[in-house]
Order: sequence, then C-alpha cells, then structure tokens
Amino acid sequence: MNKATKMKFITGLVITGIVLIMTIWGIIKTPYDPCEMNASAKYAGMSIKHLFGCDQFGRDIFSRVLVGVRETMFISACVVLIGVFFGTIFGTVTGYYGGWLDEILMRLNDAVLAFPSILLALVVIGLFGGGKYQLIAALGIAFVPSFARIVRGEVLKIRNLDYINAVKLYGASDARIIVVHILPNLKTVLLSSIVIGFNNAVLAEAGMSYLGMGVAPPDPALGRMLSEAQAFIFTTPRIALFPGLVIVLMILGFSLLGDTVGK
Amino acid sequence: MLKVEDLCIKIHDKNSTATVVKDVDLEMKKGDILGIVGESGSGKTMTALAIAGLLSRHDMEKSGHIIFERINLLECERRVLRKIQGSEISMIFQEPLNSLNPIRKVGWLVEESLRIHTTLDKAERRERAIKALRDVELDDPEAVYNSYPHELSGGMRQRVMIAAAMISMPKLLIADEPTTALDVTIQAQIVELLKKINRESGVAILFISHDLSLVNALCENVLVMKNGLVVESGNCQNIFDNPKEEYTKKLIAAIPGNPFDRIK
Repeated sequence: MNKATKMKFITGLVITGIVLIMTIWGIIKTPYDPCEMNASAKYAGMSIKHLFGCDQFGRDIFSRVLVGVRETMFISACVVLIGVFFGTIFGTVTGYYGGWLDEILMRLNDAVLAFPSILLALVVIGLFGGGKYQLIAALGIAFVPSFARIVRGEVLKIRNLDYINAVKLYGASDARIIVVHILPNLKTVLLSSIVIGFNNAVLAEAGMSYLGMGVAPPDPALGRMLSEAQAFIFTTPRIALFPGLVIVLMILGFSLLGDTVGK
Repeated sequence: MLKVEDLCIKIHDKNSTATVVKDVDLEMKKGDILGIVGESGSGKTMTALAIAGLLSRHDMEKSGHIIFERINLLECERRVLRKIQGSEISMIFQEPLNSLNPIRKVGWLVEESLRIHTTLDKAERRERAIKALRDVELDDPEAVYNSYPHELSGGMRQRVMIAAAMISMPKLLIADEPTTALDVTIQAQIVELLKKINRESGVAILFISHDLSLVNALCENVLVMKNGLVVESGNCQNIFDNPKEEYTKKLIAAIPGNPFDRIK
C-alpha cells in the first residue's frame, strides 16, 4: 500500500466513521423528536440548541438528518444483503452447473440488468405501493443481477481449477464442493462489490425518497428532505445543504474504502 | 483390476464433433505402473480424466467400457462413482499451483478425503495426515501441515498432492504429467517417490507424460498415443530399444538426454 492509497484509506475510514457515529446516534436518541414542529423556531439558524438550525416547520434539522442517515443505512444494508444473498445463490448455481439452467437464468438476469435499477424499482413500487419495506424489496430485486454476474464469473473460473477436480476425486458431493471449497474463495471479490453495491444502494434510496417513494412522511428521509428544501434553496439554503452534504459524505467514505480495500 | 476397452470420447461443439480418443484399450493389474506418452493433444489426459470419472456427463459422448474392479465406470450411478472416487482412485495434476485450494491450510486439504469418507475424529485425522506427509518425504511434516499452499515450493506442493491422494489408500493413482511444471532434479525426485510409494503400498500408477525418459525410468509398460489413437504399446524396455512405429522413433529421438544421467 503506497502513501496515496494509505491517505485514501484513512480518509475513507474517518468519513465512514463519522457516518457510523451518526447512524448509532440516530438509533439511540435524537436531541429532538424529528417530526415535532415548533412554530417559534421556524427557519432558526445554527446554534447550540439546533446544531443545523430548523426548517420551515421549525423541526430540528440535525435530528432529522440523524434519523434520515439511520433509515438510509438500514435500507441500503437490507438491499445489499438481499442482492448478495440471492446473487450468490444464482451465481453459484448457474456458474457451477451451466447448461440450460444457466442459459435461462442469465438471460433473465440480462433482462433485469437492461433496465436502470431506479426505473425497475419504480415499477415494483407502482405495483405494490410505496413504503420502506416495499422499497427494500424493489431495490433488492434490482440489485440481484449485478451480484449474480460477478459471482458467476468467479465460480466459472474456480470450477475449472485443478483443486476442484482434486476435491471431486476425493469423492466430495456437489454441495460440499460449492459450500466448502468454492464459496470461501469468493470473499475477496464479494467484499469490494459489496462496498460498491452499498454506494449504489445509498444513491438509489436517496433518489427514490427524493421522488417521494420509500419512507412515508412525516418521517424524515434524506432524499425527501432535499426535495422539500428545494423551495427555499435561495432564501435558506442551509435546509438543503445538510442532508445533501451527508449523502455526499456517505458515498465518498464508502467509495474511498472500496477503492483501497484489498490493495 | 482396471480394464479399458474400445474407449472413444467425442466432444460436441456447436456444429462439429471432434473425436479426441479412439478405440483405446489398456489393462492394469494391482501394483502395475503403466505409462502413457504422446504429444500435446494426443488424448492422453482425456483418457485419464475418463478413467477418473472427471469428464462431465453432458456435451461429450463416451463409448466403450472402463471396468474397474468389475464395475463399469461409464455406466454406473453417480453415487457408486463418487464412492470409488476418493477411496479407490486418486489423481495428481500437472500444475501443483492450481491443485491446492489457496485459502486452506495444507493439513486441512490433505485431510479432506478422510473427512468425506471416514468418521475419524480430529486428532486421528491429524495423525494420519502427518504420517502421509512424512511418507512423501517432506522434511518437517508438522510445519507443512500448518502452512498455506503459497508458502511451499512447487516440488513440496506436488508432494503434498501425492500425500493427499494417497491418504485414502487408493488402488489406482493417476498421475497426469505430475512433473511437467517442475525442474529436472525435482522431476527425478518425484519419480523416485512414486516408485517408492508403488513398492510400499502396492498402488497401481497410471503415469502420463510427454517425456519418454521419465516413463522409461518409472514404468514397466507403456502406451504411445497420437491423435487419440494408441500407436504402439508393450514393455517399456522393448519399445525403447526397438521402436516399431515412426512416431515412437521420433519421440525417442526428441529426448534431450536422460535426466538421471544429468544429475548423477
């Protein structure tokens, strides 16, 4: 690891650390109820009482950002988990067995991959209605194909190596070969794609809530805070600044880590 | 013990069919060492993989008989085949770098066959593995047991492979160009090791190589293959001294000098 990579790694670690602290803070307790309106604090500026100030309804922006980060982290983590879980299953089965099953599943995969993930999620939400869990399901489905592809490629490569043949000759069953001998070898590939996937999930979640889907109002979500603040962007830009900044920090931190992990 | 009759292997591509092995016959008794020589693409590895049961069952067509201990390996059920694999037939491969799983320790890999076929506990497996590693003349079996494959040299890895293949005490060991990736002195050592193992445990060895001099040093009988056909077979010394086929003569002429002479 050279000096520049090291700097990147440390910066990524610090930023991700900040985001994680905010998440935990959001889980434990926020300074104010994020939905409580306070008429006397409308457009209040930054102060000790309200770190990031207040919005047009007098709600504490800091508290809202904390809860927003918590929700985004939760949704993104679930989305990536779904993607990795089903992606690994599809990827190993198609990569290991090949044949017509591979052909069918991979063409299906291509079809799903051909749509932008946000568009696909919009369709699913259009069918099943909005909400946090519908959003997780929608984005989760959209994230499966990319993981399936990565895993399939890796499994294809490993399957033809001699050590799998050797293990086959020891009399190992297919299940044992896949679980004990192939899956552990996917760790490194999966790790970096999980980081990248997580970034995409954060962006997708923010995009969806900006469009008004996902976490239902009045509960805060970073994307919706941005869209609500649009009207005040010239009078009180602060309302839009903080949720936007946090989204940038989340993605920046993870992509710095993703770039350097494994190097 | 092993009898192969009229073995044909055809590989189907999208629109063409290639016959890679044509009417191969061979026979091995307990404790035999049989060599198969031939150039790249002569079908020697395909023959070995077919005997080991490692060829996939679709996208290629196999005909003939491979009879091992009275069971036809080409037609038997998967379950039976899997039982024979590992406990009765073992194989070592050309590239010792690729034939050990890089993320597992050597000891774990050597024990894998025991884990699948026996109910030995951890300590017993360890004991057997250390003994197997000692049998292949590794200097410090305990240290090798606890190291990862990348920490070992090519020759050591090949020895580990032999240990892993021999731990289940098979009746047939298929060695698919086990010395090709190694340098000349190590080649000679591995050949000596195989000889010793054959003498001590009575395992039959099917030794595949393109190096006639190694085959001559190890095997009693030899099969010369070209383009999927057996062009000449018989006692090694006879063929060496008195080759009948033009191809065999060329192969012998291609030997760059005996590696055993070179190290002596």
